Amino acid sequence: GTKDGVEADEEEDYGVGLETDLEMRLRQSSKSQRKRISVSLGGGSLILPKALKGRFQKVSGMLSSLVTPERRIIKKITELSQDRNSYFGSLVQDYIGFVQENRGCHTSGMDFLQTLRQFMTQMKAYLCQSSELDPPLESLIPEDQIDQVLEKAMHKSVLKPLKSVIQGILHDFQVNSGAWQQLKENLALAKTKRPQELGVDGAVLPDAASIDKIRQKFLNMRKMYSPEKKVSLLLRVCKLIYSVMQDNSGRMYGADDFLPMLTYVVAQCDVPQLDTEVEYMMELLDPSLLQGEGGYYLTSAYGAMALIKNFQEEQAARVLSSEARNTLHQWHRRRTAQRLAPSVNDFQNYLHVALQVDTGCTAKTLLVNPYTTTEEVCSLCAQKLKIQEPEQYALFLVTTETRQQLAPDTHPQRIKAELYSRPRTHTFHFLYRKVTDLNLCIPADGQNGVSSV
Amino acid sequence: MAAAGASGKTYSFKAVLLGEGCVGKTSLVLRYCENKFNDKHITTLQASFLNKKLNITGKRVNLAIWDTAGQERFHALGPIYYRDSNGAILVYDVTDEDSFQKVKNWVKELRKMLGNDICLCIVGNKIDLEKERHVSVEEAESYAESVGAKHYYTSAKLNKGIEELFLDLCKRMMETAQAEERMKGNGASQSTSNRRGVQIVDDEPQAAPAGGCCSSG
Repeated sequence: GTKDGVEADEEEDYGVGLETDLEMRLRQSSKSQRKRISVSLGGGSLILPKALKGRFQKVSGMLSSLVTPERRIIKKITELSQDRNSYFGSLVQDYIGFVQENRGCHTSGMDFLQTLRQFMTQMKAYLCQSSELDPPLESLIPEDQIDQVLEKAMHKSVLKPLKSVIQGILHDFQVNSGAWQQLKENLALAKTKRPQELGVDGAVLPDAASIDKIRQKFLNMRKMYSPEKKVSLLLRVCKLIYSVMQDNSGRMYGADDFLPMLTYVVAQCDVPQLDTEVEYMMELLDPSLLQGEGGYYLTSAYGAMALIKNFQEEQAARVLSSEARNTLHQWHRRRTAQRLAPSVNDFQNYLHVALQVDTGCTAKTLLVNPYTTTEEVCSLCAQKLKIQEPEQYALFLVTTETRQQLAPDTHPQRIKAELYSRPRTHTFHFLYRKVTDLNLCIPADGQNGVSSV
Repeated sequence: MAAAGASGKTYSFKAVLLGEGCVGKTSLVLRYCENKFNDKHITTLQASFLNKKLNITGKRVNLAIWDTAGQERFHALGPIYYRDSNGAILVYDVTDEDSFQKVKNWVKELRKMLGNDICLCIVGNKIDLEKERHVSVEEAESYAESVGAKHYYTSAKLNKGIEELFLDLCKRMMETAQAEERMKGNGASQSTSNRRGVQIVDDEPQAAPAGGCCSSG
């Protein structure tokens, strides 16, 4: 199609809140209709003719049927992910909390993204096996669609709330390693090169207006949290590039022509943030989609960025080769890891603990595995808070009715699992604070006798 | 890598297309996919990525063909394109000795990086230019055999040998995938992972089995 054709079918969907918006609109409209009916019926002054009433019901029935089972499930899972009283919710919230509070615990952006990907994959496996979803997934959607619906639900439950944190972490890694500065310089240099110097040969070049349009699309990509939506925007960019190259000639272009052109376009657009966008998509896209068209053009975008990043180097080929090899190795590792993985165990290792000290109360998510004892958790808390007299503090299990000090040799993670496995989960949390303040019944042999809780 | 499944499911294969610029890689796939574009794909009207659905001996096969840029300056990007490939189609021009040398380099690299998991096809293209041939039949075929690859002759111009090439490759990839399935089938069963509920790993022998701390209470 023509450039205009491409522009016409572009929708301004950033993968942010669109579904919610639609749902809200539907819910509002059906609610207001119901209200109107009940007011008129109940008010007495205006009796709605029966026929009209029937029509209203039909309309609202139609609206609610627009909310597909898929949408309903995604909504349900998202809500469950925010409910700390569910096991799934506690896993997700603890993980989110951990990421927010421990920005520095990863070795690289790729390492961080791979952990995120693994978390989502394992949570999907958990949801498939768990009985927390009621009714079960199989009863609502065909089996072959379950995986993709769960994938969307994980994007919404995990990637959406963490969007700005992830962006921040990735950017920090880039800045701290010097890669950001290097990338900006290389992009500026590549931008000055003639197309031929980048390997472009023959095809029609995009004009300034097209470059502008593409730059805008790359910038819009940053507003999305869904890796799939980002990829489909990238595909629209590629389609636009192809249609410019063809210029209505009908000629088909292979990679020999397309890759250099894409590199030229990326250089002209000069959007250094595209690098972390590509990394984000590469690592977080559902691995089963990496083999398809999206995976192919994502790979090409990665290649174009890699060429630009190594542009200055005289020995570009050598450097690039070792980098690409390293990447390949990483991917290999990920693939094998995924094959062996599906287990939730790794992500059961977070514990949300409320910390109360003289100056106030905070909460932290700690890395606590099933074998970690209460004693070890206490020393972890003391370390985090820089407590001077750790022997005066202890870990408590707090429920709506009770507060129970945990013995040093107990295992908080097992207690947590125990509690969640009960037929009715009671609200509870772990609290780290001074012992003396709480033990009102035991006469304290000193200073803190009368303090209240 | 492979993807696919038991009888009712679809095999999904990825084949990467490698070779120097100008050997005719693009024309080759275009010929193969002619008139059979799948309109579900956004950029199908192009030749860099092509997707083809096949039915081979009653099994559904989904073949994704990944083209690569053949110019020397892009050589280093090879790994990101060929990773996870089930097959590689290495194309040279029978009239161009250099392009055959390039194929040899690719074979070496692929075997080194991916081992024997990948099905290799070495393809001598442009046999319509037989008179100008510079790579001998014997040399090419014996080389292919020595590295465990199969050799094919094609002409994109005359539409010769192309259908056979891809069909043969798909059959070989299916055999490899089926062998892998059998291997997996003989291994430890993973049925335990279907249990409902959450497990806490516990390597203390006296701990409660199946369900452990979760199921009581």
